[in-house]
Amino acid sequence: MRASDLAAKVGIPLRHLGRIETRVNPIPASILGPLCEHLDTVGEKIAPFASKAFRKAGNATDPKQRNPFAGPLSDSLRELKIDTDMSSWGLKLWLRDKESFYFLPVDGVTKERLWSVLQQRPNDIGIITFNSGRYKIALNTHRLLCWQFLYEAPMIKP
Amino acid sequence: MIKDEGEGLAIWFADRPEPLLFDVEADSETLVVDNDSEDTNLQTFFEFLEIDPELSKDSGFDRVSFIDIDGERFFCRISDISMIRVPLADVTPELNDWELTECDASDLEAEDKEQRIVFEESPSEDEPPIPLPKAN
Repeated sequence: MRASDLAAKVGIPLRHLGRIETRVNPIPASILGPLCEHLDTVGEKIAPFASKAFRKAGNATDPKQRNPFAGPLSDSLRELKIDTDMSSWGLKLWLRDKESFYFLPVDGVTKERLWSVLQQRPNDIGIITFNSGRYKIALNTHRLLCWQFLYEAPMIKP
Repeated sequence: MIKDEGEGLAIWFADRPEPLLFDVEADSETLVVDNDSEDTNLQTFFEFLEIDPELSKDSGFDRVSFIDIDGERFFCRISDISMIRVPLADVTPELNDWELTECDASDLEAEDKEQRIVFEESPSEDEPPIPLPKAN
């Protein structure tokens, strides 16, 4: 199957599939099921580093323990840097001395990291780097005037 | 204003409204210990950016540099940088290889047009200005 066909079937941009396959971006838990279905495989094969978590969830009798978006499975997957956030996040920011604002789509794992840095100690950091869409960004937190984390904003594709 | 066509390296400096744009060659090797060279140009640039600001002040490394498309080194001070943007594939050789081997260039181009991402937008001119309080 061509990469473009797989991306279309799973419902993500082609470049996003590339970032997932090369482990540049975390795998969104929301596409694990469709990926398994279209590649005719199981989650352990796509994310072997999470095989223990999948096996534990597979053996659980309570359906809540098999939910990748909440509860113990979600916690385990998040620790393994699998994106269990169902929202599409974007960082909207204003820089000092600039008229425009900037709008940077980010995945759930990156959003958590940026949240903890920007909300807790923006003055200590200096330059922070992260992936946004098809770009790598380096942001000087000392030059950051203000910011917002937007969820489910239109046109955001991490 | 929407700008998302940006290729190459864009640097927004403090006190300059528009970014400076540079043509750079994509890295061809993954950066590991002791292999920094022109092949890992952008990865080395980003690695130096992330050095602790206090450490960089103490050690005198308050500047960073990269090599542009002409093979010439460009220097700037870290503290003057507001933001930098570079295509991920240029700074991630394995992703660049994946795009070259697994994708048709036309597919990627078509997708870039379709998946237009708002990167920069000016505040709307239609919005009325906020009224100032009247002086008594």
